[in-house]
Amino acid sequence: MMIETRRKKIRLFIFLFLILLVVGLFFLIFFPFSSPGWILEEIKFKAHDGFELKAHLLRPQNPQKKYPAVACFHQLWGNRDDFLKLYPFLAESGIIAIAPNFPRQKPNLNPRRISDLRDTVNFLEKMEWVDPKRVGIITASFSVETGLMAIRGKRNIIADVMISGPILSENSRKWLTQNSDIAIFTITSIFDEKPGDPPKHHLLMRECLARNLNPFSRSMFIKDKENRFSIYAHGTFVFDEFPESLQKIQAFFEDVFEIKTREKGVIDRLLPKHTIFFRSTDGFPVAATFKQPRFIKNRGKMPAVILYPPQFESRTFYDPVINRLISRGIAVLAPNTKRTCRELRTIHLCDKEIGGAVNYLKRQKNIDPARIAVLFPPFYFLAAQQLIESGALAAKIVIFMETGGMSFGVNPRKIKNKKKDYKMYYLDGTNFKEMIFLLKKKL
Amino acid sequence: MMSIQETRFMNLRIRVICFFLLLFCAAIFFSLKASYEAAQSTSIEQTTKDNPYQDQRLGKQVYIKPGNYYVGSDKEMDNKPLRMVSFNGFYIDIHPVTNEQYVEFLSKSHYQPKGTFDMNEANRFPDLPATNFTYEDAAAYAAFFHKRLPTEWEWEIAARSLKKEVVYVSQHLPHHQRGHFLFNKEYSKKPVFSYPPNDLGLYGMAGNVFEWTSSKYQEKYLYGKHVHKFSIMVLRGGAWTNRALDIRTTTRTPFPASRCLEWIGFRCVRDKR
Repeated sequence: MMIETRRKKIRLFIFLFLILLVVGLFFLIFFPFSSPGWILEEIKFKAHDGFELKAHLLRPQNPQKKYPAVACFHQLWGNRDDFLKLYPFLAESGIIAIAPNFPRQKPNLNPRRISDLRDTVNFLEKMEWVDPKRVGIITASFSVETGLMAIRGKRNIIADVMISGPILSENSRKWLTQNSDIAIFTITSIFDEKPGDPPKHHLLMRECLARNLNPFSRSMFIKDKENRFSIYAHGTFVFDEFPESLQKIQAFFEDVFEIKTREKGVIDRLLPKHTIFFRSTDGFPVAATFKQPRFIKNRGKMPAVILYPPQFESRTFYDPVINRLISRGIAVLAPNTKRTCRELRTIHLCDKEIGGAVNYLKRQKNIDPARIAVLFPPFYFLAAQQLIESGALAAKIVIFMETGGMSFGVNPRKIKNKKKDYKMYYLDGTNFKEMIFLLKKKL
Repeated sequence: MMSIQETRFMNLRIRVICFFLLLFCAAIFFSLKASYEAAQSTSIEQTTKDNPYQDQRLGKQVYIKPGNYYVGSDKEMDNKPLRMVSFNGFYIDIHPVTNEQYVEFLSKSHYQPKGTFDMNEANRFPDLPATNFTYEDAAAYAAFFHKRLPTEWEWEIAARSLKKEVVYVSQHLPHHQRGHFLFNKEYSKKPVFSYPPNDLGLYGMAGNVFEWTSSKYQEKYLYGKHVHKFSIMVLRGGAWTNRALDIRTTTRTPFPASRCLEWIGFRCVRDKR
């Protein structure tokens, strides 16, 4: 009896298992998993002089036709991460996008500041999935001018989103009328002007639209009646301050590229690996690379370092050393920032972002709040001076790395540390070996 | 009673006097006419009513004698080569039309501008150049006063002071003093007599506001699909929105006739009667 009952049970289990298997197979065949329709890749390609450009490429995972495409040109002191928020909208509309870092984009007369942008468009057009007749660009601030110079003469570029950057060159403005197939979408913020000034940027953008003959051209001017906007709305910061601008850009491209159906599949998780967003102390979202070693219980909490990039560089500047630091048991947070600048009379510091970065690390369970270091290249010396002298920096270990570039006239060795609250170290030149050695020793 | 001889003598004397009077009148007439035309750039005609508070230069014109003059430049992509063109004589306004003048025109003619001309602002700033007009609005003003808009070539010879060189105002002056351009720190238009005139005595031929001309921009320089839907006219002179180094007397700026901006004005010319 016992044996028969067991057999019966086994048969029942096998029977149930077979039913489940059949049902599972049925689902697999007729209801396939929702595949990630669009993916974000990190690619490298060469400019015509051999210089390597590192870029994000947004593309369909299984391309089956020719897609329209846009090249994203970041602003001065910006980087390819500036467009992260736009990718889901572009993917939804079925638009391939490339966003390189342009380290040679500087306010000088170096022709590479323009040729790198042109090489990017050329690279994009040659991709097998790209429809070369439906190509556009997105430009911000400084790259509005250089972007238009880069595409001058290329008549297949049919869309240009210009975010807070007036076109100053008469030749470029004239080209807009002469080659009027290009549709323009301008986004301007009144904070592009200094208080009391007439809205010069806005007016100059209007001139571009008035001269342009394409019926798809349009503008978006943001008025500040409630005084709720800040200076950070310049350039691609509009994506954070005015999220509706993302939908408007999407609608613009859909019009110009004549896109009638939207893409299917998962499109909302388009972030590069190890990329996180933390909030500055005033609520501003900052993209950063955050990587930490595997947590081992017995070792206790681990130290961490915040690495700020030098002038004209992004968080990717530290990619070659991140794994080396992790193998030595140090967590790394490498944020972007663009808010340190000195204008004619005023200084804008990224102190709130630095505060936000330290707070973010302190909130992590695995990180030891007493062993957080911050590394400042010269571009952040001014912010560091203000934070240290006022005692507002929450991290107690500070490293100054003399990588060259603008330092706002601040000598880090003369920063006053009266109460000896902070341990300050100095590195001459971009020396990653020494940096790792120092961090390991002091943390 | 006078004798016959005396009468004849008297008649002869009257005839001689009349003859000399006639000669005298003719001499005055021809000398006035000669001085009127010979002065060319200095000969100025007053066309507006006298007002002791008004700038005496307002509404005046300069006569350009008929002749062959240089236009174009070998360096300008859409205006080359440097060449000589024959012109009839014409009078040209020494300054762009001001707000005050355009308001006067509107009150007399009851014309409704197609552009976005702001009457309130015009009344507040009468000496600023009148702007925000479509090409049609500018042409309507000119027609009302029996004038016309200059062709771009008439505008160009006047701007380069009938010279071969591509200059607009004395080259001895630094860039920022030659005209109102971008980076002059004032981001709006300025009164019409703010900067020195060129050698013909014409004000505002460089910078401050663009000026409509009656010439169409050639289609051979236009490539867009939508070009045929528009009438593209040529603007000359540059505005405060331009960098000084971008604007020359030979620079041609294509612009749709149906649109307007706050830095596009105009001046008029009149053919010699």
